[in-house]
Amino acid sequence: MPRVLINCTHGREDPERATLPFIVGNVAASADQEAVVLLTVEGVRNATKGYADTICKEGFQPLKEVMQSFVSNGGQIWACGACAKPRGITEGDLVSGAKMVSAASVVEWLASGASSLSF
Amino acid sequence: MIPEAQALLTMKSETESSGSTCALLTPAIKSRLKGLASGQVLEVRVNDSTAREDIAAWCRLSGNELLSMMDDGPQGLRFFLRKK
Repeated sequence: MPRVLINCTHGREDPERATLPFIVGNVAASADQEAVVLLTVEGVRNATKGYADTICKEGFQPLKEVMQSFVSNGGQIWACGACAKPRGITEGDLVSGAKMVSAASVVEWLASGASSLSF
Repeated sequence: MIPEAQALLTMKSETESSGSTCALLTPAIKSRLKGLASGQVLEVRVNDSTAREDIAAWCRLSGNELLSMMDDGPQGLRFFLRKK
């Protein structure tokens, strides 16, 4: 099955860039692609419980809804462990469907042929 | 000849707006198809012209079959998809 990796580097400070990766990821997941949204830098905060609840860019679905739809369609949320650590985020802080990953996991996914897109 | 559909999905904004359904349309199709059996047909009605490319691409990716597309002018577009 084709793989895609969408990189999200923004959180509450840029609602549009926080939401778009999940929109694209959700379209991919709903088309039966193996889809991962990789959260890095400030984007890693989107994976924590409650953080995305208030993020909504005008003209877009609320981020929380897009994330839930993405996960229900089989999408995976990966939170960068290196980005989480200095922000005090641990595995127990993550929403359902999200997991902490290392750089090696990301490289392995890309090396296996995943196409990537970054916002 | 218009295919016989077992289910209907309508996604229309008040005014035709290109790209207005971009984020929602194909996930909604996927969700609606979950309730159908393999071989059954879903009719999709939409007034977003970009749906022509969106739905065709989604069908190629997902393996579901786009049976036909009808342009009803101001009424929008109609698509008939057979679930794989």
